Amino acid sequence: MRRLAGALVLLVWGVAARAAPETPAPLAGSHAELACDDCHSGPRITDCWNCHEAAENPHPVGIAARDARIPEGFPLAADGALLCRTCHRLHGGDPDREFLRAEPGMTRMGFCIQCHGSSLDHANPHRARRGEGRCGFCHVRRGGRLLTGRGSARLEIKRLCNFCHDVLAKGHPRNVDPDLSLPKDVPMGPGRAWTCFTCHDPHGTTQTTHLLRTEVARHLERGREANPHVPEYFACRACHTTSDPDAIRPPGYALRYRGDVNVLCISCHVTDRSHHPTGFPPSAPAVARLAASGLDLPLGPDGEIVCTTCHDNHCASGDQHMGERYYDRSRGVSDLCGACHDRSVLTQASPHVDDPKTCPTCHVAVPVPGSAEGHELVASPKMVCLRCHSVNLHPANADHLKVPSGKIRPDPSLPLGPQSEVTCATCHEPHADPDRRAARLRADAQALCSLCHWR
Amino acid sequence: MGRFAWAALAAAVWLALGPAPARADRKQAAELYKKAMRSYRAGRIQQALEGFERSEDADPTYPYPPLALARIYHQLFEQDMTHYRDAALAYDRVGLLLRITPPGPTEQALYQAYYFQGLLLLKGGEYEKALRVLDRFLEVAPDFYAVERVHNARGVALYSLDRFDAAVAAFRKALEADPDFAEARFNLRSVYTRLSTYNEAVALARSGQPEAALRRLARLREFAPRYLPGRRLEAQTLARLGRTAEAERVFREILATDPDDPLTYGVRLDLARMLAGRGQTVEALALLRENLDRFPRIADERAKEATRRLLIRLGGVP
Repeated sequence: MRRLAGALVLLVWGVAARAAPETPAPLAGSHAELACDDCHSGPRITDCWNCHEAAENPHPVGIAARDARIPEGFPLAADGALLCRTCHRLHGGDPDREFLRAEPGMTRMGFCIQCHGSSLDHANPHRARRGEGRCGFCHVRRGGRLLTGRGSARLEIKRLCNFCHDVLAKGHPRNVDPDLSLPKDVPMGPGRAWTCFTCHDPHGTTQTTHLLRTEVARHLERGREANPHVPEYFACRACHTTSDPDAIRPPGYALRYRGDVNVLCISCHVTDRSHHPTGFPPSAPAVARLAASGLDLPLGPDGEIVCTTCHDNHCASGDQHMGERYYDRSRGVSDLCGACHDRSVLTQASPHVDDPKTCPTCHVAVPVPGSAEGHELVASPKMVCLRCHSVNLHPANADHLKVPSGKIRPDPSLPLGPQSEVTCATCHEPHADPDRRAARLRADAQALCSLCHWR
Repeated sequence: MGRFAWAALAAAVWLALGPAPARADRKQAAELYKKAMRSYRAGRIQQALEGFERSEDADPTYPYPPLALARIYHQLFEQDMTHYRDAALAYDRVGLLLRITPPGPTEQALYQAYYFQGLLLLKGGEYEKALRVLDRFLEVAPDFYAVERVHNARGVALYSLDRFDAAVAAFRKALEADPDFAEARFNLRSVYTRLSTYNEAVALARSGQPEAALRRLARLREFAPRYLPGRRLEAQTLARLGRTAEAERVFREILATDPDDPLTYGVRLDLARMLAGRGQTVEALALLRENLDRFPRIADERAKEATRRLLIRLGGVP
C-alpha cells in the first residue's frame, strides 16, 4: 500500500513538473519592473511597440531577411519574419548591452556581421546609392520619397551611428582627444554641437579611412610635426588627456588611447616596426638579469615590454625631453641593453660581415642595392651602435655625435645622419672593410680628423 | 556573368570587329560633342547629357563623349548620390575604348578616366574593382602628377578590404611621393594602430602568454572586428588553451560571416584539425572537402598539402 501511495505521489509530481512551464530567466534593467502580462498578453509576442516607439529602432522588423544569414538560436516568426526577439534576449539578456544576443566579448559590429557577413555587402548603409533601399536606414521616407539634407535623419545622428558602431560606449572621440578642435566649415549638429557627421562623411570618402572628412584629417595632422616632448605646459596634452599634474597619476596616467602606450606612440611615430619588439614580457633570463642590474625599466600592465620600458620623457623631473633610459650622454655610454641582454652574446656574432643574413641586425630589411629599399635603420644611427658597443666619448674625450658647427666642414665622402649629424658611421665603416684599419676607421686616424677639421 | 558584363563584352566585340566608323561619323560626333560641351558650360546639364549621348551614338569609338558622360554622372553622384550606375557604365565604356585603341601621345590625359573611375568605385564600396582600375592607371600613367593620391586611394581600398599589410605599402608609397600628404599619414597611423595590436598579440601568443594575447585580441576586436587574421588568432589561441568550445564558436563565426575569403581556407583546416582531435571525423572531413570545393586553385601550397594529408589520415579521398 505504502509503495502504491509513493508511486502515485511520484506520478503526480512528475506530471505536474512536466506541465509546469519552464521558469524563464529573470528580467533585468528597465524590464525588471514588468509583469508577465505586460508582454505575454496574447498568444505570443510579436512586437514591443506597447512601450517602445517603432522609430527608436532603425533596423527593419516584421519582414523576412533577404540577404542575411540568421544564426541558429535566433528566433524568427513562423513566416520567417524578423522579430525584436530575433536580436534581443529579454529574459537573461544584459541591459547594458541592449539585451542583444551577443556572446560575451562580442562587439556591436561583431554582432551585426553574424547575419550580414564581414563585408556587410548587403547591409552597409555607407555604400548606399539613391534608389537603393538602404538609404532609408538613415533617411526619412515620406510619401514614397526619400528626404535628404538637414532634418532628414530618421533618428538623432548619434543614435543612428551608434546602432552599429557603439560609439557612445567608447566615449568617442573624447577617448582619443578630449579637446579636439575642428576645422572651419564642417557640418555641425543641432545647436552647433558636434555630431558624428561633423568629422565623418557617411556617404563615403576616397582619400581617408574611417570615412573621415578630408579637411578633418588634414586638421588632425597639422600638428604632427611639432615635437610634444618639450618642457611646455600644453605639450602634456599631446599624450595626456589633461595638463593637470595632479590628474596625471598612476595607474593610467590619464594617457590618451585609454592608456595604451604603444598605440599612443605609434599615433605619431608612424611605424609598425619598432626597433625593439614590444608587446610581450621579457624572457625569464632577461627578467633575472634586469633584477640583478638594479635598473628600473617599467613594463606594461601585462608585464609586457612597451615603448616607455626603454624610453622616458623625463616628465617627473620637469625637464621633458624624450630619451633612452640609462643613456649617459656625457660619457656616450648606454647601460640599457645590457640590463636585459647578455652583451657578450650580443657581440659574439658580428653583423659587420658580408652576409645578407646579418643586415637586419641594423637595417629594417636586407637593403636592395641601387634602391632606397631596406636601407632604413632599426633605430637612430647612434643607438644602433650603442646596443652592442659601450664606448666613452671619443676621440679626444669630445662628443662628436652632433650636428657640426658652421666652422666644421665635413668632407663629402663622410656620411652624415638624417639630420646632418655626425654618427658613428661617419668615421667608422660598418660594412665591408677591405683596408682592415683599426676600429674600422674610414681613413688613417690623423687623416680622418683632417677630413673635417681642416683649414 | 552579369548583365553589364555581357553588354560590355558585346560592345567590345562590336568595337573590335564591327565596321570602322566613317570619317564623317567622327566629324559629326566631334561637332555634337562641342555643342554638348557648350550646353554643359552654360549649366544646361540635361541638354548636355543628351548631346553627349548623341555624340557617342554618332561614333561609339570616340572616347570623349562617354568620358564626359561619366564625369557628369560622377558629379551628380557626388552631389546627391544619384546616377552611380550610369557613371560606372560610362567609365567602363571609356576603359574599353582605351584598351582597344590606346590614346596617342597628345591624348594621354584620357587615361585619367581610370583614376576617376577608381574614386567612384571606392565611394560606391566596390573595392576590388576600384583596385583593379587604379592599378591599371598606375600601369599606363606612372608619371601622373598626383600619383600620391592614386597610391593613397589604393590604400583606402585595401584598408577597407582588411588587407592591412598591403594598405601600409600603398600609404607608404603615397608618402614617398609626397611626404606632406596629410591624408596618407593619417591613414598610415590608422592602419598601424591596428596592425601593432595584432602584431603584439602574435608576439604574446608565440611567447607563451596566451591569456595576454587574448586580451590584446579583444582590444583589436573593438576597433577592427572584421580583421580576419585577428579573429583566427583568437580562435587558435583559445584552442591552444583547451577552450575548444569557445574556439569552435569563433572559428564558426568566421566561416559564417565570410566563407569565400581565401583566408578561411586555413580557418577550415584549423577547425578540421580540432574536430578530428575530438573524434568528430565526419564534420572535419566536410570542412576539408568544402575547402577543396571553394578554393580548387588556392596558392598556399603548405595549406593545400596539410589539407591533403589530413584528408588521407581521416580516410577521406584527397
